[in-house]
Amino acid sequence: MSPNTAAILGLLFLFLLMALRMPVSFAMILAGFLGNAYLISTDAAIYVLATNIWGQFSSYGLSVIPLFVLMGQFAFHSGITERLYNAAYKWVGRLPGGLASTTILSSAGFAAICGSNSATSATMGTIALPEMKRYNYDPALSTGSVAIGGTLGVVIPPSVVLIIIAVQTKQSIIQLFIASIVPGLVLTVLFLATVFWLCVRNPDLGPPGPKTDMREKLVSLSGAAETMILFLLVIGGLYAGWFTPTEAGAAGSFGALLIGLVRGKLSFQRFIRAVTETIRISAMVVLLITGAVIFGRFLTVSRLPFELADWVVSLNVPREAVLLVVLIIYLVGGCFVDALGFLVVTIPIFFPLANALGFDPVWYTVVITLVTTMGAVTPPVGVNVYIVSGLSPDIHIGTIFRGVSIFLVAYVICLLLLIFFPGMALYLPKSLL
Amino acid sequence: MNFLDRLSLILNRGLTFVAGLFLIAMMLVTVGEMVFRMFGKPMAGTIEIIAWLAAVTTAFALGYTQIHQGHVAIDLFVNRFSRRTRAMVDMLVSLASAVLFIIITWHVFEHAGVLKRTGSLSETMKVIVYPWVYLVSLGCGGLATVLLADFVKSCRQAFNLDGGRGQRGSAGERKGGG
Repeated sequence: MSPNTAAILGLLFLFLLMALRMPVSFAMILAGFLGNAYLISTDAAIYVLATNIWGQFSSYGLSVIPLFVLMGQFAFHSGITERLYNAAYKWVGRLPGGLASTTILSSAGFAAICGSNSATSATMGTIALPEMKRYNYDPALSTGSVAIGGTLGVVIPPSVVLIIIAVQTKQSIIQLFIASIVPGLVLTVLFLATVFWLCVRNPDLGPPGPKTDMREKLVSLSGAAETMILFLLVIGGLYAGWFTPTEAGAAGSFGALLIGLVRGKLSFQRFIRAVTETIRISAMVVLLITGAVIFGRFLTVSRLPFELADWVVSLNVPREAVLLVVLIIYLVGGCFVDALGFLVVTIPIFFPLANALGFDPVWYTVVITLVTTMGAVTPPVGVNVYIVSGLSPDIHIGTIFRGVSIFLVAYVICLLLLIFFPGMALYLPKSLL
Repeated sequence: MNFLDRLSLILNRGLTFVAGLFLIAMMLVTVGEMVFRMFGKPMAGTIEIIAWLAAVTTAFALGYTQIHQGHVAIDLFVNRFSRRTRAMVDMLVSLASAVLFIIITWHVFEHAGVLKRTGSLSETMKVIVYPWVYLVSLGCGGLATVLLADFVKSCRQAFNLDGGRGQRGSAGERKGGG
């Protein structure tokens, strides 16, 4: 059997294991181990397995993951969200659909200190959903705005997904963080515009809140100050070269811990919950990356990704058409498979292809991050929708998916803007770094 | 709850506790080093310490993550199967996973042994590394125990040994971390 045939069979075996509900990381390790044993030797495969498990787990580069997750968890449990929500409400609450806009704006703020979409949805949902229910907001709009706002957690830096891609593709974390700032802001504005448009067309969906004067607006900013300080500390420190990414994560989590303690919101139980959630998420993510490395080694030995890339280049098809196919694969895959798992599995295949086609790796990373993030709100496995559903059990899950669907137009617009104006992602890192 | 279940719960509860302590230690050591550096007294070898703490934090949390169905998996297809077929599939998958992690535990343990015999030292601090590798092997062993307990549970379900009690509550609980 040729190495390429072995790699294709290895991929099919991987998908079979995943379809049988074997955790994605286990499936990648198993398929990669068997593939390496076939293509190299059993002894070599065992050596790759043992050294990679130790090597990845003890990699300083990966130690950034638990610390950034910890920062998000401390922020989640320390009551930062309520103050952010109140501040955002003073600024946009008066607009049509003001509470939904408030939800999106405060989600964007929280995303600036938390890199997870599920944590952003969960934390925002607990505050925003009861408020919107009180003001008789349309259930599809209220739940949809929470679920879609949560996706900003991944797009706006710091982002766990960007860290994972950076580690897997050996890119600079700070470069990816800075590149995704403008797309994240554009997406936020597009979400706000969607709420505004929906509520101007049909004011019953979300009535505006009471008027606030400029003094109230300015005073409310103090509620956003701690978030701003944390964001500037982490991103600014990284940008200025004061910190390595791991140190930025540690400084951020220490800062979030202090805020929680000073405000008296972080009880011992909440502290324990934040720590256990962090180690659970970190173990899942690090094992996923380890699996991807072991499986990626098998694919590299087979040379399939490079030959696939060469073959696609030789077809002389416009590279935008290839990109479109890749994006559709991510979009459809993200509908059925956990977005993070799908991303980690496919990076060893599609990243060399994007390189061979001459796409800027930073730009390409931001594009696939946007596309895979949509998987968090698309049926049937959109994780954010299930989180929101858990927070509002009286609302049918179909209603939440309906509420989210209109916001997907904003995603498509943002993607198109990014494709036609790559500078949206590339200008800041090129001019700042 | 059978013996294996109890063993895996007790073992992983202990490992999770240590993982939590190591996580906080990671944060404090990193912040401490930054403070020392600010005062012109950088601590040599912090990078190595953080990397080892991270290794143990992650490895010791593997079993806890599996107990809470936290390793990302795809429920979509298997959920369409009948309960019995699902239990059969779970049985095979947990057996394969358990065997995989027993192999990993053993070979990481052997790798630690090799580092011990060869007297391998870390690059900056020039201290022994192998104890950390043994700890990572222990964490993988914690996961293997959970998977073995899962295997026994799914066997009972597949062959209806517990009269329909104790369904696996995994579906829908699996979470992504993105």
